[in-house]
Amino acid sequence: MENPQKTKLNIEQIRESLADKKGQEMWRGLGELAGTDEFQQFLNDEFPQIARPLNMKMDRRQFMTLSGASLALAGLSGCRFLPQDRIVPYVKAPENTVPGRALYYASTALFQGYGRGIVVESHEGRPTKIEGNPAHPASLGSTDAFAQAEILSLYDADRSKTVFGKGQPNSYDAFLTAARESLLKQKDKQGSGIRILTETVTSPTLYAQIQAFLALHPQAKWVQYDPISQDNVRQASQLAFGKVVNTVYQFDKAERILSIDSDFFANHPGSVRFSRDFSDKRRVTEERKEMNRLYAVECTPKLTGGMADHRFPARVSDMEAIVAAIAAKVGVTGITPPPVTATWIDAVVEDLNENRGRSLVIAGEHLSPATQALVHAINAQLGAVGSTLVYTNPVEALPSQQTEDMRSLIADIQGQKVDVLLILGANPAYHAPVDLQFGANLVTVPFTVHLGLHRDETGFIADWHIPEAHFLEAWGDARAYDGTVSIVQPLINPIYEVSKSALELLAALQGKPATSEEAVRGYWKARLNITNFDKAWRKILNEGVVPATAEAPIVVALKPDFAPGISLQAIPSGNPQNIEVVFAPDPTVWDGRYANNGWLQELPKPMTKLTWDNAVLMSVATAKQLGVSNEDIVEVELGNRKVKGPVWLAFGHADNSITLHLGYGRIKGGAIAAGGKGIMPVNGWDGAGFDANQLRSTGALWVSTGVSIKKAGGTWKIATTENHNIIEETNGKDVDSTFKRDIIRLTTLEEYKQGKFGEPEEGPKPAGHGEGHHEKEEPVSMYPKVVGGREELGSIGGVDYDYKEYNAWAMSIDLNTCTGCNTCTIACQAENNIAIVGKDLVMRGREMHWIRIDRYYKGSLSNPQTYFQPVGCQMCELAPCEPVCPVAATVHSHDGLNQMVYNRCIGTKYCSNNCP
Amino acid sequence: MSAREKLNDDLILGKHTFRTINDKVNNVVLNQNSHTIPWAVCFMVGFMLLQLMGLVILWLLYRGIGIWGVNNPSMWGWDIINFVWWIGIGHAGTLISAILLLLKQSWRNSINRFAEAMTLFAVACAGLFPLLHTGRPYMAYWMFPYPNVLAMTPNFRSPLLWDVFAISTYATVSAVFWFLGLIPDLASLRDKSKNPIFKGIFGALAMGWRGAASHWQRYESAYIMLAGLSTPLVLSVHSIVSFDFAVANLPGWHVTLFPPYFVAGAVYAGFAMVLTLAIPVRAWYNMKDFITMRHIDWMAKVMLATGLIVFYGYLCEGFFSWYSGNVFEIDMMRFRMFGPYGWAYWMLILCNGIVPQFLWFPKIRTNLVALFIICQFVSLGMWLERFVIITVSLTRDFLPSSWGYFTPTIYDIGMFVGTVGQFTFLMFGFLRVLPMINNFEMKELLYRMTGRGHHHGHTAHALEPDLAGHTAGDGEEH
Repeated sequence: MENPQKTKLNIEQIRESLADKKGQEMWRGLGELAGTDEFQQFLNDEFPQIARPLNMKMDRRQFMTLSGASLALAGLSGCRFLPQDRIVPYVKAPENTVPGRALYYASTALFQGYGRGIVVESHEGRPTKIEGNPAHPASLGSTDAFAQAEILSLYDADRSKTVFGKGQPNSYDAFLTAARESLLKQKDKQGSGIRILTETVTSPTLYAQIQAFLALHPQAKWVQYDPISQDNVRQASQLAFGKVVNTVYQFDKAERILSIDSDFFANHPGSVRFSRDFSDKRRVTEERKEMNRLYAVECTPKLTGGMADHRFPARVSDMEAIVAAIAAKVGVTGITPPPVTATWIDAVVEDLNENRGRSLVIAGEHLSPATQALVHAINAQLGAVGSTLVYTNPVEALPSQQTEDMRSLIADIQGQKVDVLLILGANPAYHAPVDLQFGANLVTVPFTVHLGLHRDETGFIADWHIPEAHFLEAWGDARAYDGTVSIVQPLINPIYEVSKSALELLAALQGKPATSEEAVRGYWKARLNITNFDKAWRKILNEGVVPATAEAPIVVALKPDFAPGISLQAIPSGNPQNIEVVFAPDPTVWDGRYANNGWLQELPKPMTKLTWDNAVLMSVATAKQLGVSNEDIVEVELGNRKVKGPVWLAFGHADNSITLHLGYGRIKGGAIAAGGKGIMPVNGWDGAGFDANQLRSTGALWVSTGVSIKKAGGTWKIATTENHNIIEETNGKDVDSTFKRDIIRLTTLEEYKQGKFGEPEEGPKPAGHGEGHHEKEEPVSMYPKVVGGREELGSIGGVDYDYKEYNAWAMSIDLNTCTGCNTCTIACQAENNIAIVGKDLVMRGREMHWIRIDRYYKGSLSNPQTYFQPVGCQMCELAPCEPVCPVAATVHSHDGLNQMVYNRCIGTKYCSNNCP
Repeated sequence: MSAREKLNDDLILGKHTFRTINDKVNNVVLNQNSHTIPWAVCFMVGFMLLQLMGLVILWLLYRGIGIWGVNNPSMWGWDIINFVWWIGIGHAGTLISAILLLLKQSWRNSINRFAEAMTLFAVACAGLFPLLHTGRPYMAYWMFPYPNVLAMTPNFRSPLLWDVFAISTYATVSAVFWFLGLIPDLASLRDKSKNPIFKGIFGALAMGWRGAASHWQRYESAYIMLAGLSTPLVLSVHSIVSFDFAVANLPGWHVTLFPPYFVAGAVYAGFAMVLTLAIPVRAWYNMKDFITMRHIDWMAKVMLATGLIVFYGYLCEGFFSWYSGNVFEIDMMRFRMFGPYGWAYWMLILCNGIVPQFLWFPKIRTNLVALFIICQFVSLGMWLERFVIITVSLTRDFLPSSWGYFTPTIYDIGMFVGTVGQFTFLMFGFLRVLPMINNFEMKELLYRMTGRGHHHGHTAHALEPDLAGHTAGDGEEH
């Protein structure tokens, strides 16, 4: 009791527990106080029962007195904890804050290091919903599923909450002390033992910070590494132009698009913008009765192929030969036409040529540099440069060869040249190529620091782990795919108070602790260097973008020897003995960074409709040849490495090729990422899915042949939201069985212009089932005809609907432009707080999404046409769900909506049964 | 039980007097030694399953209906299947008590008491499901039109609300009807009982019945009025239950044929259950004199007739889904027959369509073992009928993307087995504490058959007041 050491310890513990918990005190800013003398004094004042009575000798009377008093005063204990001016909300009301009314702030979400403008809705200081920023060129008011789901990542309960040092909870101050000590030792060596590892950096402020840090330690090195790297893009640019350039595609100018295994709808820093531009050209309106045309050559079925007018499956390994053939046909000089085996190439090339200046070829970022260089040449030949695409200076702060840099980092570690390694926001122990043995090498570095949202695979083995602030919690900036700078504006103080952004951490390590706001604001004040900066800054924050920061187009000349070593062999026909394996980022959990986001885990992947798992995707023919089918576990062996995973048939996948999606098989990083029952236990842990990184090496980051696949025995149940029976139907003679139901109406543009809308010639003649709105013969119905307005409706259900006085709501979905991107599903989940249910219950058909995206196939299993159809509540005028509810919890609103009164619902489920 | 018994025209066999009838019926209740091992086994098994049901319900209330196999799109599963099945089983009792009474069918007399009891217990089992299948059973009272500050009435357009009224009315009328019929017999038990506690209980329940002519006069008019009330209920309850489906717009549910076909199915299932109980019980308690082969033969014939109606319904469903030309209806029928639940459909046809055809043969109708087995097929078939209707339609509706598959969980099975236990428990408990055969009506029947007093023959009408004195339960004839 009298040991002062012990007293001090108690306070330490309390401080730590205070640092961990936030709740209502979010605005208080305790972290700045933590560790200071004032804080100690504050604690002593606050908890005198700890500070003083512990040193007192107490007799029975005193004990009784004190315990009686503490009992009586127990209710007062909360009275003075918070500073007086903040405990009563809005005594001094924050500007513009009206309880119950949302405020919106412009900010920026990061994707592959690039910025996407967002507008965040905030209720009483809590961000609740993310939308796109109309002023931002990469958004134009739209978002993708990742940005929508970030709001859940912000509130993720598994986020790292505490600083860890050597595996034990510790304080940020202790870390700073240790780090400064380690950095001080580097002074003599000019920091030659220091390495900083980040993901791709586009942020000007962070770049300036890193440069400042490197100026302090001239010999230190900075390595960028992203598992979904754009190394090949940069190398292709080097090959074609002799320097790294950034390609800005302008789909709003392209009438003919040829995609070479590109996933530009989902997998590109500009994909939200691209989707919008593409849709604008796709949409048929009164004024514009033309559509763009999309050709897609692809291996793994992707959104691109789903949207394509013509889709040609091909192995990734064969892309080079195909592109060479196209280049030769288009007339790229220096390429002699190879023997062509694909007849479609002539037709595509003819179409592209006819639309010179309005056509565009886009290559997947994973394709070999030579292939992508060829695509640059084709675009130049087609007159695309300057019209459907422009080249600019690179947007990344420092374009680098990330895989090479990573390899030399590992070599340095092995050469014991690295003493201090700062890992800012990456998880290389999970996602670095397996041959680098990053984790094993990391532990040999004397001082390692990991800054991350989760204490993930890297965070567990690093000496120090610092919780990273979410981008909605700290200031920053980022550049978009075209160079436009937007500000990352936080909406909330860090929920876990010790969280730091990379900017703050680097500033602290340079001995000039600054808040992230000071850093960003300071940088832009210096850079913009204008007189009325405050006003300009407010405008920038309001709009979210820094004006006139987009990169200007530059003119680059194609090098004459741009394509050395392009092998002009014939397009290989499939060789069953030589199956290739393709690695791709997962459509929902990406490289694993969203693995702990339940919304994204349960989001059906656009083409396969898998949830909670990745799979070994292959075509039907390949599966037949291997003698496997859906859910059979196979062992994929590459080199001497093996992974096990379940097979899933991907219709339209290129034959003799398999795709493994990255991002699964996590062993640390949260209960959702790593708490599930995974297929391939690693070190006693079993995350959801399997870790395809285990096969991915620096030599073959994206594709490798020579993979061997054999049945491993057993099956692995996969939670898919797709109905098996549709496949069985299509498998049989009745390929278009579902089309008889008149679900998807198809017509050609020519027919559409003539007024045909794809009515089935002999389709269903529904008798009062609420289907078939365009029937020529009205089915006989006992219900009055509904056109709208009081007269027609009469008094159905005893209610008169009069839409003359109110708005009648309507929403239409242009199925012609729906890319199946899933954003609406997550947006709905975010807006309506829809729960996730987990893999087991998805398998039992209990997923709760209010909008699902139905995907229908037409045609052969080897290369079907894909149609997406988002299905939400149709808000039927005479809704079958309404009359059947016994307690009138399902009602029609005065403005024509079907409303569910949750509080009134007793759960008979009849509404759902009767929903057509 | 012997496998085959002689068919005869008599409704009472053996040389019986009023006294022997009285003793035999009352003895089951008053002499506790009359219950043998079969009773104990059935009662105990029923009791154990009832406890199981209690556990399942506790877990259900704690965890919610997620423990069942229901999913989206199959929002209803075994809960509603069991509900409709039990409601159907109850129907035979009311039919026997009410319609056969009005039609003056004397053969109802020996079986009406436990058929009515069966009705009540089946409704008790059925009633659990609609209550428990709601997500918030503690809010189920919202389905009643009670005055409240929200000024909310339930939605009278919903078939589920019609269900609430249909079933609560049915349960109430059945219970009153049953109890009214028991009063003279309770008085008889009061008078015969030696044990003062029993005497007190039966006395209280007999409500002062003295067998006075005025009692009999009021009794008969009340009874016939209740029979009149019950008669439309026989038709209405299951019609309304069928509206749960027929009013909905799902292919396979939206069928105008449903009301008559459901009612026929209910009578069919009900008689199968009466026979299932009657055949062993009459052997165990040696009631063969009262529940004769004639009764059994007629019940089998009713089963055959209603079974044919039901089978006709199946054929109509098939025909009309084809004749509609509606792709959803045609596909639904195709999935019923050849889809993932095809086995259930063909089992249904076997149980309800093929097996009952054996009842055309008198030899089989009087072969108790065969008849008992056929009854089990019918019960299973009627359960499968509801399974096919509910599950196939829900999992194969308009949009193929919202198709699914329903798999029950152990809790679904536990609930079903539990209600079977509850039913058995209540039924065998009833056999022990109340007269299973309508004592006074049997004596009345004997009176009419033997022609003592007045010669009325088989068609003596029940309202004749002077019959009452002979059957007043006090054994005045000795």
